[in-house]
Amino acid sequence: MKKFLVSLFLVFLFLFGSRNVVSAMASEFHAIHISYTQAEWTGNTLAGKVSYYKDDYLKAVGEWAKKDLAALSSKERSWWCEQYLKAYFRAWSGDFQHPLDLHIDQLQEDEASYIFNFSYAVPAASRSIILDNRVIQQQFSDQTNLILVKAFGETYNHSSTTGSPTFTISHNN
Amino acid sequence: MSRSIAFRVLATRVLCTLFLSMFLLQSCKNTPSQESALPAMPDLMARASEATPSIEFKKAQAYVQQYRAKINEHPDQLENYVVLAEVYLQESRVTAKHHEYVPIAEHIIDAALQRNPKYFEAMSVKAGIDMTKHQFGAAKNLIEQAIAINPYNSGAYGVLCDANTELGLYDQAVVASDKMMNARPDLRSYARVSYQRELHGDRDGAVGAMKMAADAGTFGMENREWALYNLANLFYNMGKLDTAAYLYNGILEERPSYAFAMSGLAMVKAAKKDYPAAIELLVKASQTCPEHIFLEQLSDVYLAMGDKETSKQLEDKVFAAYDQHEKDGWNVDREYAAFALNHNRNIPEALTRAKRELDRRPENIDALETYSFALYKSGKASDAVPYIEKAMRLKTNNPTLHYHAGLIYAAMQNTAKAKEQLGLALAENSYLTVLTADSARTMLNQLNGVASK
Repeated sequence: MKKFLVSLFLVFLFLFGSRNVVSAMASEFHAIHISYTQAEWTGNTLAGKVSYYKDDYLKAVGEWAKKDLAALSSKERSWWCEQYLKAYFRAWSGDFQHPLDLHIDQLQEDEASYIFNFSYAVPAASRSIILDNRVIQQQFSDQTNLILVKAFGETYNHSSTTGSPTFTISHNN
Repeated sequence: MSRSIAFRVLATRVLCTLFLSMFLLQSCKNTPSQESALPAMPDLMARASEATPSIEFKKAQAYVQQYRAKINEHPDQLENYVVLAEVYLQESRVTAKHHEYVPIAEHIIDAALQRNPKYFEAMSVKAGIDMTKHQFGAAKNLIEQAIAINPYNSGAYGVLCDANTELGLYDQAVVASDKMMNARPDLRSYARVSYQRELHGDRDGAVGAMKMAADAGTFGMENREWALYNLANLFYNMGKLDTAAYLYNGILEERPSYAFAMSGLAMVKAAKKDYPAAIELLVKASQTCPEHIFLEQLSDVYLAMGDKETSKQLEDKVFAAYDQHEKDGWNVDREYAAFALNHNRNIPEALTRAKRELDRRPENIDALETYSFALYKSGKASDAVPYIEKAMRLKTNNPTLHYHAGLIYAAMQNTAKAKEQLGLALAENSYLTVLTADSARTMLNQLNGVASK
């Protein structure tokens, strides 16, 4: 019986919901979902900055935290923004057994973006770091998180997408 | 029949009847009779680049509300349709939400033209929309009909100038720009004069006219910043990167959210091989204003860096954006072909599209250049020669055009002409583009090496 009523509801939704859903999809389809991280690994620190499109980022944080961010104070909102980043912008030393703690040095914002200045403390003996950036990708499957890391004289580029969120930086120095 | 089954049958019948009635009612509401049809006139969407709405945005929103009310109250007063459509078109320029606002503006203008097909102002705006969608032939036909009704309007001659330029009817374009200037010398007419001078190889004249265009604008307004952006580009294309950067930075002081200035600065950074800075600026530009030209430039930078994987991912996004344009009735054959050729993607399709575009406008130098380059990339350099030579007939100072000519002549073993064209390209702008500068220098050095043996 429950299945039957659910099926009827879905038919109803299709008849009346589809037009608005399609028009909403049409406008989302053409939006550009992109972020950029620049970082440098020197000695025991991986530090850099990353910027996200503000509207997309707040949507992601609100859905993850299950909060109405507009109702929060600026301080509370910033706290949730930082917690979200820690959950979805992750790093490990060597392999996935050794997670690194993300420290947010500063959160800035301008008209269109949030900009996080961040750092990770990297163990002295580390020969590689794994970076995984899935920020906003649950909300927008086409979110592309560009990453550029300078490490020991080399430059590493990666485009983190839903199909390939992780990449590894290795050195032999 | 059991009770449960009977209930299901009854519930299904009642609900289906209800759904069908509501659906039919909704459909009827959305397809009113021709005489009473009013177009959709929604509120403007919040601007992504403005956390606090600017005065400019509030004014535009107030216009929407004001003119929507006027149209609802007096649907026979057509001047209100034109004003409202222009608000949406301007918002489209500022926010790059072309697929949202241009159709709205077009429906409003179509509603006006349905009431009076010979309403001059609506015909002019409709021709402008055709230009936006790259329907150049349709734009020319319509604006000529409009000018026959009112031969004294500067804006109409501006549209005619643009249409003639895109169709490769350059003599007629010059005549139209003169008429535009005579009717009203302002930012729009000075900008047209500048472009005509640039096309005909008068760079200094182009710079002078674009300076006048910018000076005729209002500090911080989008059209003045557009003029300054084009002025900066003129200097960039001369290889004067520091002057260009100075102008791009100046634009951002006047209008901090002007994404095109960010992209201009990014191109300066990329020309100097500061790729991380270029990427940061282009991502910022994309976040501020979702124009897919910034994605194209990003993919160029990643390709120049040698990161083919990331470049390919960005290229796929660009092709998806072109798909969306075509679904919305835009003609992007030349732009698609040019991008695909620069990235060595989909060459056979690029050739087909370039040919199709050339068939539409066989005299236009951009269409000729793109087709000749497509032929070259398809291994048909000998077929490309007449087209590239025709593309150079105006003597435009276009480094990329000369670079393409150099490649074609080199493939034809015509060393003298290849050296001449590559030398011209690098003399006009030693930085060329982020994808071509090194290639041009390498090829010229090789040709000089061959000649000295």
